[in-house]
Amino acid sequence: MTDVAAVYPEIIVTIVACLVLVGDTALGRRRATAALPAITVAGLALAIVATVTVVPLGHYFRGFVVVDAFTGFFRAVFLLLAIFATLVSPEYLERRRIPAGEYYATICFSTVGAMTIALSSDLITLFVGLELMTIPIYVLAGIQRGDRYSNEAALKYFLLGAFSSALLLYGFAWLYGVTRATDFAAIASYLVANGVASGPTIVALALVTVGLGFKAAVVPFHQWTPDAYEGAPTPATAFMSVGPKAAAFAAILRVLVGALGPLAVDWSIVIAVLAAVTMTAGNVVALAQGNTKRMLAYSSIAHTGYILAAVAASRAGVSAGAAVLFYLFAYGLMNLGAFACLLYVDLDGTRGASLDELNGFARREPLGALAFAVFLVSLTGIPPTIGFIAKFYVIQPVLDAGLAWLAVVIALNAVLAAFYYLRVVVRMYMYDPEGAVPRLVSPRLLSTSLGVASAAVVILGIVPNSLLEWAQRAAQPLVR
Amino acid sequence: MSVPLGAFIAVSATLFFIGTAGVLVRRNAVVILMCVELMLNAANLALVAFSRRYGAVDERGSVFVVFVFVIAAAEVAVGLAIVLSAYRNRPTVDVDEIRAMKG
Repeated sequence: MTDVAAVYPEIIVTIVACLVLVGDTALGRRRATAALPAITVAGLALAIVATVTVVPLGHYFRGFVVVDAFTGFFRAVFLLLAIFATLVSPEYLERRRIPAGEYYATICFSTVGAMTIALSSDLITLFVGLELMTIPIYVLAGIQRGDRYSNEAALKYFLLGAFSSALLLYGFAWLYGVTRATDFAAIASYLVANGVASGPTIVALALVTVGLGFKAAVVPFHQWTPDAYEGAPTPATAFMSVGPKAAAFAAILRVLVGALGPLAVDWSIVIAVLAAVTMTAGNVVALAQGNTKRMLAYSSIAHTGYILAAVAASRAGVSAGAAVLFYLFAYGLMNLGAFACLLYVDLDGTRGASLDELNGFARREPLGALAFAVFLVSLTGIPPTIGFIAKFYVIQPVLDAGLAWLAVVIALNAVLAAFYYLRVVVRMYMYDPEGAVPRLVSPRLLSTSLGVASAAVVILGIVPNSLLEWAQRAAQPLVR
Repeated sequence: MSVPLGAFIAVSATLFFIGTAGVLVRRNAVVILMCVELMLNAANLALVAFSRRYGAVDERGSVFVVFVFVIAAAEVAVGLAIVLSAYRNRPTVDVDEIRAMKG
């Protein structure tokens, strides 16, 4: 009984997804458009309540599942992101005639997978969670079946996603072969007891790093990202860019820090170099983009680099883990928000938004432009926003771990990134609209949720302490 | 007569490299999908071989394989659906021709 109680939040989200699918056909088209988002948000909120009132911390299902502070933090983050993604979508889905039932159900199924990663204490649970998270995302990318860009996004995401899963699985198989265990604690204790890394262990470590690198869009395993993000319907992109990324980092923390922590001397320098390459490449290519959606796609690659820098600094202890969690929360909020702001201008016949389309945006849509400006300032890392605090907390453990050069790279990249983020703000506020301006719609639900999210970005940037303490508590279980 | 572990691992590694090479070289989306399946089965073979070596005390490797079957089936179902919907809009399964976006 207690075993089942340990996964109540996941069960609730699964039931919500099934309800949405049934409701979609049972309610009829008119009532479904209003009811489905309401059902989804209510169900996800119920799941958040369930995460705080559950079983005592510990292992369940014969050690396949662990409920600890780390699990709680990620469950809450995934559910909040799913709620945010649901709230910004309805008006766009109706405008573009995207099937709403499938859309919300897919988001819920993917969230269940992400939550499963958070509660995994075993390679098997982790792999099942990872696939349960990504397979719905392939569907989400291609949900606009008649659109060839959406098809292409789904196909590229799927082929590289499946390939990376296979690499990861082969790495897991070798890890099992070497350590004779699949649960993280046993793998870690085997590695501690048997000292130095042998050849097969290094092979397994390399395969696991590459596989997880693909999932998190680490350069040079990022080629699918810009196309998948650009081609997918914009609200789907907004969710794809944050949910799976946070889940991939949950997996990286569980596997690299949790299970392979004893090999940190071997992987931390590789991860540090990958982090530096990722953030630099992401920012440099983002500079050259004329399409805002594609620019934000490259910017999300750059942010992967910042988060990975904190992973590389894991020997600094709890503060590094807390920095990863805090950054993921901040990134989820501001990046989902920034993509969602494109929903104002992403009308029929346009794809994303060229920079020119945003000229004079502030005059046409003052509130939307203000929210977009707040998210962009936060992505740049300027106070008083959560993005600044997140970068600040990443640099500290990086210095503590003796990676001063990486801290310098982070600082230089922040300056580089400021150019292309603030260029959009300048265009929105200081340029006149030119040419034929597409008629803007002003959806109420989208504006309200963006308003709340941008307020949260500023408020959490001024008083980040409670969130930071939560992240620190959640990072405790990673340190042994 | 029992087959040594090394033989299984050699077959598994061969399968894995054939699969990887196929994914990197072939341009037909369906063939790439088949190569990914080959890679998953290489991992399955390795898991079963390790599990058998460790004997009855540790059957987690075999359990893993059962989960991988299910995941691979789900992946193929979604993958073929994606290829099919792309084919309906533009009759090709060549990944080099499906590149409307730069990059």
